[in-house]
Amino acid sequence: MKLAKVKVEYTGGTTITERVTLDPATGQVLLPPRLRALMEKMDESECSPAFGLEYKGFVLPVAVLADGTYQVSMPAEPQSGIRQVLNAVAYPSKDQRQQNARYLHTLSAASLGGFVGYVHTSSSLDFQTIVGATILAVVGVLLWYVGFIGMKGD
Amino acid sequence: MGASIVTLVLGVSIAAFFMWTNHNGQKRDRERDWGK
Repeated sequence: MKLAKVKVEYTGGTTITERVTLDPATGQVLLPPRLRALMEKMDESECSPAFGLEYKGFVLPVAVLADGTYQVSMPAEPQSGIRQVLNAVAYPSKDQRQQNARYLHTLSAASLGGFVGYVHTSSSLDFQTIVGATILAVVGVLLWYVGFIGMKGD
Repeated sequence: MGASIVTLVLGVSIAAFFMWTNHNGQKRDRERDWGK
């Protein structure tokens, strides 16, 4: 049995934050009598609330079963080894996405710097120079844009 | 010309990879928020 934080949010704006007992093996949630009494009182004047339980960074919806008990479906346990590393790269957090965006902006600046240097060092403005410079400029703008999207953070 | 093509392919690949990871991360954040 573990203690877990729950949040009960009603449409009227009332939010109840409480600690409950959670059985991680079965997902059964045991509510303290105080919270049960409060929810029963609120049900007289409110619509059904959004009932969520915080567990290992997840917000799990709490379901009421037919026998009146409360239950959550437990998330899958994290993988180990190389899969975890790959998972972290493929599914970055908000802060990691911001760092990726900064890295893209660095690459973009390098590409645009390369574009200016390439144009200035070429002796003649022939076809090959134009294509090379254009590609550097396009890559610079593309990397800037993708970094810009990553900076959004939502 | 070959170097320019390599630069273009590399740049687009990097952009596509980070767009993909960004999409994955946002999707996971949304799923966590909604408790799915």
